[in-house]
Amino acid sequence: MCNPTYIAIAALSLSALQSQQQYQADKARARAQEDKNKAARKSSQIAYLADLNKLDRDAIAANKLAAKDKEAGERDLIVKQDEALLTQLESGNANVDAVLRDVGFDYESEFSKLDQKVYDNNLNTIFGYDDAYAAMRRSFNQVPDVFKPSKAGLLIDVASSAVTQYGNVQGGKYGESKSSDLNTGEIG
Amino acid sequence: MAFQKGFFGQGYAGEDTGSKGLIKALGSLSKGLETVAIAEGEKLDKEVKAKAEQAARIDNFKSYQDAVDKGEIDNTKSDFYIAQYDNIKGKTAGIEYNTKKRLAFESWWADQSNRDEDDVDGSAFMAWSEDYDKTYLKDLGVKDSSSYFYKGFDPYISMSSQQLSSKYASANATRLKEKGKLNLQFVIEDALMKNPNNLEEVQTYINNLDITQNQFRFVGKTEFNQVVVQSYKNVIAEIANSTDLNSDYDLALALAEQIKDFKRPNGSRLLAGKDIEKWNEYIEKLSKEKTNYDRNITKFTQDAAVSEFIEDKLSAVESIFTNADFNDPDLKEGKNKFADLKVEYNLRWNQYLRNNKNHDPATKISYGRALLEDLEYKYKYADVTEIDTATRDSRFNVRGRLSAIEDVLGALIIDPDAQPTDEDSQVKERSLDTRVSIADIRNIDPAIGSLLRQTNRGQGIGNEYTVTLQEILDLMNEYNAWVRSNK
Repeated sequence: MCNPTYIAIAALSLSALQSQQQYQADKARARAQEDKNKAARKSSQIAYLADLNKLDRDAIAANKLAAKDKEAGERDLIVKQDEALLTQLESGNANVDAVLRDVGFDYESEFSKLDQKVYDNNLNTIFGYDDAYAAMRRSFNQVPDVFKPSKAGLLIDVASSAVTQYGNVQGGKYGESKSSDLNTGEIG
Repeated sequence: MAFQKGFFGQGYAGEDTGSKGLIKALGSLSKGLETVAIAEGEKLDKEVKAKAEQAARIDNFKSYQDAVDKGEIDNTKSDFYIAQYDNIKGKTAGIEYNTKKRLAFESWWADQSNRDEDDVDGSAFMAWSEDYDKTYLKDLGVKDSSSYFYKGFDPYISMSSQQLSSKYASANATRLKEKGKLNLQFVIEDALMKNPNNLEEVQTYINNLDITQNQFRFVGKTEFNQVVVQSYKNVIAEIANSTDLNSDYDLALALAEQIKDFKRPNGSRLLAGKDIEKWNEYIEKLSKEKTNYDRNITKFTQDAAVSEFIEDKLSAVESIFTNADFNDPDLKEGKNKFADLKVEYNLRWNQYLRNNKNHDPATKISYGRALLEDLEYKYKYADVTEIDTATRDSRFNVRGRLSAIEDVLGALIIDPDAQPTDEDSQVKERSLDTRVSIADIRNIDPAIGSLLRQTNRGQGIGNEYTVTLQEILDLMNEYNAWVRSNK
């Protein structure tokens, strides 16, 4: 017959081994999760940079288009003013400057609009930067926390099992008698 | 614009199924081993328990410690073994304790039953029980007894106390009731014996007993009645003992009669239904017993000489009352009177014999003679009722019978001066007297002769009249004297 106390000790050992294995598994899993999180963060940052790049590209393209419009307008204004100057000179108008001013005035508002558009583009790009950053933060926030198993917890767990088994042994869960009760001490 | 288009999302680390399986296997194995440990533990416990019980039952040690001290068992046993061993020892001791306490209780109860004090609240038993337990445990002598010993022992203390308490309560209640009945019986019997001549007073006294005496509160109404009847029976049995010279059957019969009419304060009778019939049979039996007793007591208490003398004297008296003077065809009262006399004589004579058993025969004869004389005198003067003095043939209608007497005398030719022979002396004497008297009876002086005198003075001839035998005798004597003086 096996001594139930020894069996209980073996059970305790296995229980401790189980706890240790659980600790190791938890530790490996935490490490793997950490790697996953790192990759996710990196991906988020790359996406952020790509967002900034796109914002910049969009802003440059829009500003370039405004500059082209402005250039076309200026060219057209020059043509108009030259035509007006020639006409006035031919007609003998002494106040040529006034006519030129009138022509220039007609283009002034269009040029202001183009300037304003460029300004708006730049401002929107700046706002886009903030949005891209916020989006990156959101992605970061989705990354789960990683909890590493505690060594102290492992020790406490093992100790707890030991205490429980000790209590079981003392409490008679595995029998209250001793094997020696049967072996010796027969009443004569 | 859509941001984070390049973000491929969050990845999650998967579980290591290999490790998981290992952990699970380790857990299962650990649980399995624990189950085995439990099973092995139970198995071991059973075996150890059996061993411990076996050891405890076959040795004579008082406890495990006692066995260790005596070196018969090693001091290495587990608490479980000790617990089982001592528990059995405790139970064994408990059984012994229970047995001894029960026996002790019987003894104590026997003593208690003889005490006058009544333990109406059970305090006497509780005190005895506690004292017994204290002494018993002190004397138990179980050195360093473990709590396991007392765990086995203690239930017997409570069980024993509980059983004995119950038994005591029942027995004590019965005892109180029986004692109450017994006391009641004693009181009633005492009252009856003290006042045998005043039974009415005794009856009142009995009827007040259950009201005035608290000690009889345990006796129920029906039982009270039964006790009264039984007490009467006991007293009757005591005073009406057929083998006792001092028995008083008259009183016994009076007591028996009283029971028949005995009424309780609430109006109910002691006897009802079939009990009355049985009681009547009892009285009848008692009467027969009395007759036998009277007859026997006379035989037992007087010797042959006294008996012979009394019988002779009684015969002599009988002859007086049955002679011609008192017992002719017209006058039978003489026989009747003697019958009454004999009854009274027997009563008084037996009474005398009972009360004076030690008197010598001479004294008894003297008493008997005096008694007979007294009774003779008494009954001679006792009234003879309904004497017919009116009928022509009546002997007491002297005048009315004269012609008839003359007829008779005419038929008798007897010489007045001739001496009567032995054979017909009475007839001749009587005839002589009558014949002579006839001659002068017509001129009889009313002043002579009691009967005639009284007849004339009182009711007058023709009416019923009451006289005594002695008066009749006197009349006859006077008449004869007158006849003789006028020869």
